[in-house]
Amino acid sequence: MTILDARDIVKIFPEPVPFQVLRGISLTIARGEFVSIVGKSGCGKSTLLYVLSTLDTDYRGTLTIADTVVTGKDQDFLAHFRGEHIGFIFQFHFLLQEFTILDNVLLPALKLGKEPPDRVRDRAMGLLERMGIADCAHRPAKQLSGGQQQRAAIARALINQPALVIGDEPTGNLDSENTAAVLDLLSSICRDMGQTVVIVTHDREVAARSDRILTMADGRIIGQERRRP
Amino acid sequence: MVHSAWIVYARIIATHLRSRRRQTILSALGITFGISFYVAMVSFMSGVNEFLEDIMLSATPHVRLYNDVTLDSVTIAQRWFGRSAMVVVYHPKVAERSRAIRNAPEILATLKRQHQEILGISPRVTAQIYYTQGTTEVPGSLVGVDLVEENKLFALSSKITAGSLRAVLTTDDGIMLGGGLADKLNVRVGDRLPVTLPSGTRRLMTVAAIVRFGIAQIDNAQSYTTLKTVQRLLGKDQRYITDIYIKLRDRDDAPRLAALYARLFGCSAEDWQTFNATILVSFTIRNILTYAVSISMLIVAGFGIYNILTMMILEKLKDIAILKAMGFGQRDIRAIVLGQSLALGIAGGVAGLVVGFLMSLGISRVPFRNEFLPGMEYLPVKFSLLYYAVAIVFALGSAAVAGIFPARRAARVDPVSILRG
Repeated sequence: MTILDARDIVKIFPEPVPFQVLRGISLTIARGEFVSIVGKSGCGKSTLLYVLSTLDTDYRGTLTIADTVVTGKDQDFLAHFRGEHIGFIFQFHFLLQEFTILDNVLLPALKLGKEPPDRVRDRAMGLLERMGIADCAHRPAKQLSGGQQQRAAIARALINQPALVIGDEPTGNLDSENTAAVLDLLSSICRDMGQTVVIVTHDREVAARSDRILTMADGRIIGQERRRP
Repeated sequence: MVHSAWIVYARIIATHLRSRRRQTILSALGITFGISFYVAMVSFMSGVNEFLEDIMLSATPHVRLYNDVTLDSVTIAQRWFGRSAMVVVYHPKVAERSRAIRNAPEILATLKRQHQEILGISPRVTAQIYYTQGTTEVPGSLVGVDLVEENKLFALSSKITAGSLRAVLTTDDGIMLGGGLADKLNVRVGDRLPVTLPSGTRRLMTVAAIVRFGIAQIDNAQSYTTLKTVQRLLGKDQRYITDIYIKLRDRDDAPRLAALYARLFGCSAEDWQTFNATILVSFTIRNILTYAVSISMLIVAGFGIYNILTMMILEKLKDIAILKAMGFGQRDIRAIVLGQSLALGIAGGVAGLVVGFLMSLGISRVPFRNEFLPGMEYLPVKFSLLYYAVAIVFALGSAAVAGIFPARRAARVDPVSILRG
């Protein structure tokens, strides 16, 4: 079953001189897959990721996520759509520093407002437990270490049980111990919860943990390697 | 679920404002300053206006009925011969016409019986006289009134600075002299004072009381005595009444009722608003001034809020981008920034109401005595809930206006450029 389908995605940076950063990319990702996109810096892999995440709407082509054509939809629709279907993990965790860890995890769910607050809270605590940082739940984000914050960011990405989890160098800023822990978590998400994970990385070892590796160069996908069916 | 969205907004607003406490307090203080100043100014100004209006109305009635002596523009000859004839009358003069209101006793009776809108009625007889002191003569007027009725309407006894109302009633030919006149003529209670009428009649009056209204035209020229004394002085009977002063239950109704009485009784009628038009204009101008100063202060306060919000947004670009990635749309971001602005407005505004109230209270405790303004001991301040309601609306309004542009700016932040670093 397809969760994400991209058709002929073309993106041009107009500044300083027009530059075609994505040259007609088409790809399909199935539900429950763990996909990594690799490539040299400047090959367009991060740009592609932001297009797939619906944050970047300035492209040509058609993008369908969870059976919804998201291309051409307005910003407020896309924001709500992201809240419901997409979870984000960034290189620099990007937690709201003044909020507690628990609030950081809760906010997307409270905003979505699909479930009563106490149920959301229980699930948030469960996720934090699973990430091993439940004891830090009530501390402000800024007091935690980088590894702890990244785990909180993963919990936040999962709080709305999104069909698609997108990571931009999710391990890029972590030491090897934390990298291993985060990768374990990501692969278990796919395995246990049937959620789809798409990450961009330049680290071959990280990519090796995924089901499928897409290699990009000069705005095109030049190869893919399927490691597990 | 709109409800739950606002809980989330409130939590974000509170956390962001708490995290920069000092800036938050400073920008709210701007609003506090503007609002408190507005409340204190407007309360004080209205207090002054009301005080002056009370003084004004302490001597002038709401409606005054009188008989206007005018020259008819159409002569009797013209009326007789009609428009087709050319009639020339050389040097027309006003006929010997009485200044008295025709059928005054009947009018008084009708007003008392049938008009519920009237609080009180006081008939008067005025006479132009000269107060004689040695060889000097000071022109002025002598007013014959029903002193008991007049005291009820205008609280005469509270304005008496020497002598008493009772003394005027009990003394033979006793008069109550205007304060300014007493100074000018250098007389005291108990002194004898000769007065002369234009007809040449002279009479020796006794100063029984001195009264001060705080209105120079009256205090410097007018004296009071009983109706009967003036009627006798003029050689007229008891039906001779020149003015009827009317106090209404609702003084704003005066213009309408004045027109009605004029029609009903066939005499002239004047309402207090027409009589005091220039003073009322000065009230309006004072009010405009108060509002101009307060609104400019609120504009300054609004700029304070605008500044802090713009700064906050620049500082929080990353947070805004994260929120957008997490499912917050442009509408949500706008609401959050606007909410921050309104929170500052409410906090600053409520503090402003409290400070403004305390300032008004302080002003009302400042002693202020002036011999020309009897009855004033402290600066006058009017306490009215209306001003506080208007003030909080102002606070919210200026905060909302100040928040609009930062809110739109925040909503337009492009998350991709910030998150990619």
